[in-house]
Amino acid sequence: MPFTLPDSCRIKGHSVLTSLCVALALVGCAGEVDLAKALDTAASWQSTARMTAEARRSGAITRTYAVQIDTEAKQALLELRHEVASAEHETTVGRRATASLDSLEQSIHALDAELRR
Amino acid sequence: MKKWSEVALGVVTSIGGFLEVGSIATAAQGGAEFGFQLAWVLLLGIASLAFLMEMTGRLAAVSGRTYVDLLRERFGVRFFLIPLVAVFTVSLLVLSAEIGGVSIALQMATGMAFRWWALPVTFIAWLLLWRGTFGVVEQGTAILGLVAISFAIAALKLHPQWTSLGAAFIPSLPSHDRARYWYLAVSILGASITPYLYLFYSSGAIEDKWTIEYLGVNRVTALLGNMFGGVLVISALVIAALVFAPRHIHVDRYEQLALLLTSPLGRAGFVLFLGTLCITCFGTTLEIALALAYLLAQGFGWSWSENLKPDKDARFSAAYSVLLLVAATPVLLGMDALALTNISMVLTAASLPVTVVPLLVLMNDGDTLRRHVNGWISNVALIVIAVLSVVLLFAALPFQIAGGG
Repeated sequence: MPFTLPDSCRIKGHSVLTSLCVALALVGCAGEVDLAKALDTAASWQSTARMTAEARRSGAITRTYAVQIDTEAKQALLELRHEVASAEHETTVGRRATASLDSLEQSIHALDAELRR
Repeated sequence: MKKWSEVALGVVTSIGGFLEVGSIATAAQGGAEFGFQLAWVLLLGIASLAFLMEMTGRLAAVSGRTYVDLLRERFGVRFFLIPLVAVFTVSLLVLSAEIGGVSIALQMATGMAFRWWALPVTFIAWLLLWRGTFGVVEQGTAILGLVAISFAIAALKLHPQWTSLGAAFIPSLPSHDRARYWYLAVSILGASITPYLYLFYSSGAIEDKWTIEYLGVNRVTALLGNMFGGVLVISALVIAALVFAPRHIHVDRYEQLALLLTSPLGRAGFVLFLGTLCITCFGTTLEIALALAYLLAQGFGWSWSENLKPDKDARFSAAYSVLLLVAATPVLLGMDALALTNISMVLTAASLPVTVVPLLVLMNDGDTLRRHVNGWISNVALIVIAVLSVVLLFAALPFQIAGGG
């Protein structure tokens, strides 16, 4: 069968359709990785809070700025607790998530203590 | 002598102008999550922008007309509406993100919520555009923007492994989270190859009255400016890779970014970061507001020049006045500035074909460019950029959904 080029409309139609299918498939997969993402976010905020406390202790940042990070970290903790509570997961994964959020909470307490000095 | 001082100014403008909210945020996100691995994307973006700027500058210097003018004339008004709407929409979003960037920097410095800074920042930007000339906008932001060099100093102080960094300029696939990797790659390209940059550059060439004698200046400015500016963006990625990645810090909020320079530079780093974010975003706010007004004025045939008094080009001046106010609105409403930045960068990447593909035709038009049409190197580069832009058009949406969360 001789090779024939499709007309430009077909190229456009197929590409848009493929693009949309890929997008929908990816949206479908997105829910499954939510808990792993929440754990990553918790670890990230835990390190951010620690780094902020260290930077505040060494005088590298202002108190005004450290307070903002403290507020953001608390907001992140609140959202993550809600996310973990509403997600369906196995007991072991749930325990790991709770432990991770508790670590974040401890780092926030340490930052709070640094801010009270 | 005057020409070479313009080269120096052009390079200095690029140094300060290359770093802005989009490039800082996307490079820092890339470095924090994938180390040096996305450095090749930055290199690709920087090289693409250098080619596009050289071409639109050459087009303006030889023809005495801007790229937008020629686009409308060569392809007709009906076709022109496509790039007009696409570039206008995404640039307006980027303008919002830049106003957000200045406001966030001021929030981090003062503690006053960023939304309250939106109107004062917008007012000062408007006042500068209303009262100033093109030279004031260009030179003022260029000289103040030199504070961005602190990123290069910080990167050097962190002693990166040069062999690892060098290896990262060769494209490679990630070992984890592929969707996020490609999403960040698209965002970085969107932040690097922003249409307003080469549209502004083309209009700037007319404002500065470039002629055919300025082709050398154009080439050197596009090459050196992007090279030095690019070094600063790569520095942002390197710093994030060495400061954030080992601590597993992902950039979820702008506020986290100010910690970047504290590790290598201490208190000075904190102040320099806030200064860089504030000044470079403010400079970019002025440039985008002008670029959008240029786009409308050139598209609809209004008289335009930042060097004219506002009553001599009333519609042009009214355009940037209204656009600044419209762009400030999402910030004023407290919209998440980082999300706004990321969305605008991805949409910018998706909008590239409408300005890049027609350039291929214009740069080979002998009637317009005479003997200064593209050579084979420029044509190959432009074809590669055009193909890349089409890929980005179809990849942007899926990657935004899969990796943007």
